Amino acid sequence: MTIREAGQALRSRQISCLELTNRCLDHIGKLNPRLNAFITVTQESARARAQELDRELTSGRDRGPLHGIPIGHKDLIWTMGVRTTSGSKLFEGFVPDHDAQVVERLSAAGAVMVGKTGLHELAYGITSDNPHFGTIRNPRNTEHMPGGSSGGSAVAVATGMALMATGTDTGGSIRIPASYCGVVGIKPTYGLVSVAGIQPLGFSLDHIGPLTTTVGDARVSLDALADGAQRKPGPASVRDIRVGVPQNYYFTQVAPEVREAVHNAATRAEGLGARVIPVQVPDIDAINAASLVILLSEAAALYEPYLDRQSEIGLDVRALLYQGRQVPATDYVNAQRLRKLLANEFRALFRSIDCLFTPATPITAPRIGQREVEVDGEMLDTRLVTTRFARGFNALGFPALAMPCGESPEGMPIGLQMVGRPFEESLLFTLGEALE
Amino acid sequence: MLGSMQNQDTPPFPLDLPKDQIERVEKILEQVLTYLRSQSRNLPPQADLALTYNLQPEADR
Repeated sequence: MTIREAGQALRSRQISCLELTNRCLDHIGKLNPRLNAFITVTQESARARAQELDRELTSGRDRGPLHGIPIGHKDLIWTMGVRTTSGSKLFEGFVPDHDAQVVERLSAAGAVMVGKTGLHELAYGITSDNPHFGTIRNPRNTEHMPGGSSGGSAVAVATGMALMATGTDTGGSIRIPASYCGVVGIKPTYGLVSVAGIQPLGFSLDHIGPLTTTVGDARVSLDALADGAQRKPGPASVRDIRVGVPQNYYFTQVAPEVREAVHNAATRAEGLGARVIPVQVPDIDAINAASLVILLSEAAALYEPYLDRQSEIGLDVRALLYQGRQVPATDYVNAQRLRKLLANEFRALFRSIDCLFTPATPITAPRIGQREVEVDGEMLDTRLVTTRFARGFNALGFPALAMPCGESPEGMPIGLQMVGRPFEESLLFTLGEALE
Repeated sequence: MLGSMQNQDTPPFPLDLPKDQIERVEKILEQVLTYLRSQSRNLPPQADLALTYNLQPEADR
């Protein structure tokens, strides 16, 4: 059930907020032991809140599209009185004394929190194979990873355990699990959604956004998460949209079925009236290198005080933290300078297009524990391959939406990534809704 | 060793990290830094940090 469908059912009294919440809690009870999407389930407070929202609807108070909608929050988003672990042993007992701003906003919009979703430890990785809280599994095939770091959020939404879940994205952590699990996820423009009350990872790269089953649901979720005044209105029609399809970088070292599905999506956009334009993109390896150096440095600086408790940190994350300590300050500064230069080059590209189509990930979800994948006959590092198309847009700060656009012959989802100009999320939603 | 100076109290990598993992992350870092340095060699002085995070249209100017 989508948020839109649930809203219609709630307003026509076919279902109550409490029944809707109970339905999600039932799904969690049945599926979570196998998929491990949630670290904490808040059934009692969820039921109480749903009853309160039922009373409001009965008395004529309607908070809007998210009224009575069950949601999950990634477990690095502070929730007052509810344990917030960041998927880490370092914070396993941490109970915040206030809500993150996004929690406040969604609660004010009428959302019902059913629990806290699992993640890659400290949001620093793409597998969601967590040494402290267990392995999160892809619902399409439980032998495969769901992607990360917002793996629990993607699984929760894909299986109806929640109708929306929040995620954070520092190098692809919303878009990658959306792509691997066949759901929609948007990394909005940098700074559009407040990071107040979120455990950081890379201060200048962190973004927050929703994961949902449809683009329309992502639109109403982002409307609640962010102040709309900053965003530009969308185009009147898909016919007004110019879609850039890269001729370089994004279609090499890509699984053939992914390449085909994304090209098909561009053809469908053209069929809907959009103008498809072949383009050359700036140096993505350079922006990826800058983005990775910035992330390594900022995360290492953030967790430096915790290295005296390093035995409580998983080996993969620990290796990254140590890796970050080896980046000289000059490289960090030059990465930030290069970032600015490349952002200008991307702005120039976006004078001739409104939206860029790329695969969200070059491959479909790898198997759990798979450290290398074969792409175009080459064995490549799974983490580097997975983040290759997503990471650069964290450094650029441009909004990027991932949505399903097909399936592999094995039935694993394929994700399309649509990138827009800063604050033009509405344009991505307009095109995404048309493609759905 | 890629960094010019290490914290004296902490080894460059955790002692219990498997050797193959250390080699893997060192190789990745070396590749990334090599590419970054090749790209940042010709950065103009105007490429400063002042507007890095400002995505409003005025940042173009």
